[in-house]
Amino acid sequence: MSDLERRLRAAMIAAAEQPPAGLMQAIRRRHRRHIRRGGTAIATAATAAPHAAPTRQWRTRCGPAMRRAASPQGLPPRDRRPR
Amino acid sequence: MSVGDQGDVIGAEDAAASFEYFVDGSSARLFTMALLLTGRQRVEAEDLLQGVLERAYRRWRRICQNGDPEPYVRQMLVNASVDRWRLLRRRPEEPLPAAGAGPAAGDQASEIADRDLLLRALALLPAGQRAVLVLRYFNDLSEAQTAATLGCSVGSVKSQASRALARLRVIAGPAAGPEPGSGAGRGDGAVRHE
Repeated sequence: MSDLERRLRAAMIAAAEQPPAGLMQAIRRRHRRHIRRGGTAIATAATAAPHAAPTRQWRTRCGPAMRRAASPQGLPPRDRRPR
Repeated sequence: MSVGDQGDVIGAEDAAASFEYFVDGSSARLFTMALLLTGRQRVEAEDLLQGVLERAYRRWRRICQNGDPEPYVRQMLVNASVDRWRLLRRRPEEPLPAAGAGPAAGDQASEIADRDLLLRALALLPAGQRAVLVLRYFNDLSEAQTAATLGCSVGSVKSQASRALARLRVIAGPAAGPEPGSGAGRGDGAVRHE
């Protein structure tokens, strides 16, 4: 081991610090937030599903939506080009 | 470690208890590692460690089934720090204030200054190189263990360590001058972590 490696190791060991107080509480808080967020996502999906279903049915019955013809050279339509 | 013996199926309460036991026992080591990985940015290190431990808590039973959970959590910490670094992209290198003379033997103040300089130089390295040095010199892992933790080859660990040390010598200045026969003179510092 070279001198630099030895000094680096000593520096790293000397840099040891105590973890922040209340680490476990912070982890639990984060975990609760994570679960809450997951619950909210499921609730949002459950609320949105009945609204989305008729639209899909309508689309299925009426056939595929009309697609706009592609502009020449694959460029986007003039009104959508970035300025 | 008494928690998570191989093949055990542990209940939710046991899992919570064993997780707390684990956090009590290894949080100091993991926090120091997070500090070194984030370049001694305390707030970032706290956030990184909390995030990693929360994710570990979610799948604690599965982690414990494989035996000692610490290597797994250590790997999560390294991956999270590299991901974070990739998100933030590379910060421009800041020249360190020159350390006047090298550390005088026996002088505690200059020894502390030298350590500080080395750690600040470490913070300037790309996250991948920093992770290699932290795993090798702080966690005392072998090259093979480091490679397994980082998910790369032993050769890659060797080259990253060599480049990182060469770069440390350049950044940390004459106090960390080259030593003959260290085999780390290759590389110019313009290395990107893949």
